[in-house]
Amino acid sequence: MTKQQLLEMVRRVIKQELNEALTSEEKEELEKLEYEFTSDVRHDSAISPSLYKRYKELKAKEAKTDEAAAPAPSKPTEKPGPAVAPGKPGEKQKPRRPLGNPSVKPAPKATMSEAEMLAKIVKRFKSAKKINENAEQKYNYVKTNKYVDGKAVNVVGFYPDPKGTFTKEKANNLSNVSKFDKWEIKFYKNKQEAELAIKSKK
Amino acid sequence: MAHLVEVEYDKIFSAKTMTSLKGKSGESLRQMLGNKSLMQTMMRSQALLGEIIEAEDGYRDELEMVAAQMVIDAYPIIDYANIKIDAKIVNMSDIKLPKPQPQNDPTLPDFGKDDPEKLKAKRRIINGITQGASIRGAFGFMLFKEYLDEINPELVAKYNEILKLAFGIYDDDNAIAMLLSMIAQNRNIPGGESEMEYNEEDEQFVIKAKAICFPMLVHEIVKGLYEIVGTEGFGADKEKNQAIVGAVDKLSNEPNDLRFGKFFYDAISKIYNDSDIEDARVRELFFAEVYKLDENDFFSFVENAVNDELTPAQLSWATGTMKDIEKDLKKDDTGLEDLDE
Repeated sequence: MTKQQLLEMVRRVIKQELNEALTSEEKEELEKLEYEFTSDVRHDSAISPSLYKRYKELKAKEAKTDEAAAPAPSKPTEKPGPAVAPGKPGEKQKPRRPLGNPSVKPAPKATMSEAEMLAKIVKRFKSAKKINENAEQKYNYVKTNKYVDGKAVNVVGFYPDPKGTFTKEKANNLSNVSKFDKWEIKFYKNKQEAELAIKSKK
Repeated sequence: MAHLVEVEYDKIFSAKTMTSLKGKSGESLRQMLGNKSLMQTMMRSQALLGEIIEAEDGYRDELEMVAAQMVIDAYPIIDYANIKIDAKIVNMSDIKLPKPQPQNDPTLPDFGKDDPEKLKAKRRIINGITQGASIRGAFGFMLFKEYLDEINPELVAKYNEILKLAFGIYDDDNAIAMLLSMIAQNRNIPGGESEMEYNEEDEQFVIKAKAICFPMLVHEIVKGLYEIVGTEGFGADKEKNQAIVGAVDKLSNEPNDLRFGKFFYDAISKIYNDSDIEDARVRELFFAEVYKLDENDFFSFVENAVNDELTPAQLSWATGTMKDIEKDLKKDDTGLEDLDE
């Protein structure tokens, strides 16, 4: 039971018609409970709902007794304000320590989707890895020369080979640095494929 | 403290404090992710999240209620302050990115004697604490272990793991860099969001939280609660307040808020935990009092708390403030005015 529910129950108890006056034992019990609640003898968290209910019952009885004894209106006894379950607006007494400042509207805060975020990051990592792998891949080659319309053509077939000295970038750049008039550069999956292709060009 | 011309943490705190924060972050990275590489962490998170969403299918309504109840139980301040919770587990497509705030120039309103740079820095720290509190609070699902075990006995372990992985990456420099890059390119999709609203008619704060799974929903609700607490760092001038919000509450600030904010939260929580006060409501109300400190006192308090170097005067203020809050709460609970007399 939450404290608010407890207070609600206490309120109902107080509202009940209690005609009996406090007995001397009850007075003593009430005094004892009041002492415990108002001193540090019993910490708030140690007040059990049943004890608190009992205390409020006795207080209600005491109030009734006072009313009966004095026809003139007496000073109202201190009672807890109406309590509601969290979320019910409008009925609750203002707490001494209200929380929150209505004079500002913060921006919504998002938490990024782990799945989507991670999928994108993973993709990004993979593509970066692929780029790096491609950049570092070494190629070897087989080549032949041929003349087309009187112009020399250097036909080169590159294939992946860790012992090779060419990167893809370096291979593609050959045409800029060579004395040959024309280049025919192709990449093949393996040496066998490259050799077959070059043979057919001879 | 450095002159506050920016709202980045390394401009707010001293080099010594930043070194300490980065050290804590490194330790957190080891605790949260162990020996996993960033790549392994991400792959595992992705797989786990899919498993969790599948396991939760068919139980969403119940889990939404459990999430709200869990936070109400763990944070009795919600009951005391009469805060309403509106929590939903939704599909990814139901969560929209927060629209970028207009880049308000915080100098536009007349700030009078207030220094907007300091107000921005204060807001940044409070945002960090909000994120930090929500990370720490998300692990509270253990309170409902028995119930969760009934849905699926593997869920609790999975929740624990996904939270460690999901929040652990914020301690990784590379991950932060990538997140910031994705945010800059508007390529991120939120997995949860929360906001607070004040219902003027009912005079009531409402936490609105959405997430794609239960542990993230708990995280979002706690974030909403601390967002409400965080409003205590503002004054009464709405125009000034919104100018500060516009300048600081940015998605691009969130990765580092998540990274360092948990240590601000831990440091201030420790002051409450070390006290002999057991009423958990005092914790959030104490945060509110810290937020109400003027900027210079606030920076000094947070920085000293992070370094575990609070001055005797700061300690005395903290103890006295928490005692006062506790007394007020007892008065509200018992209806007895003369409790402390």
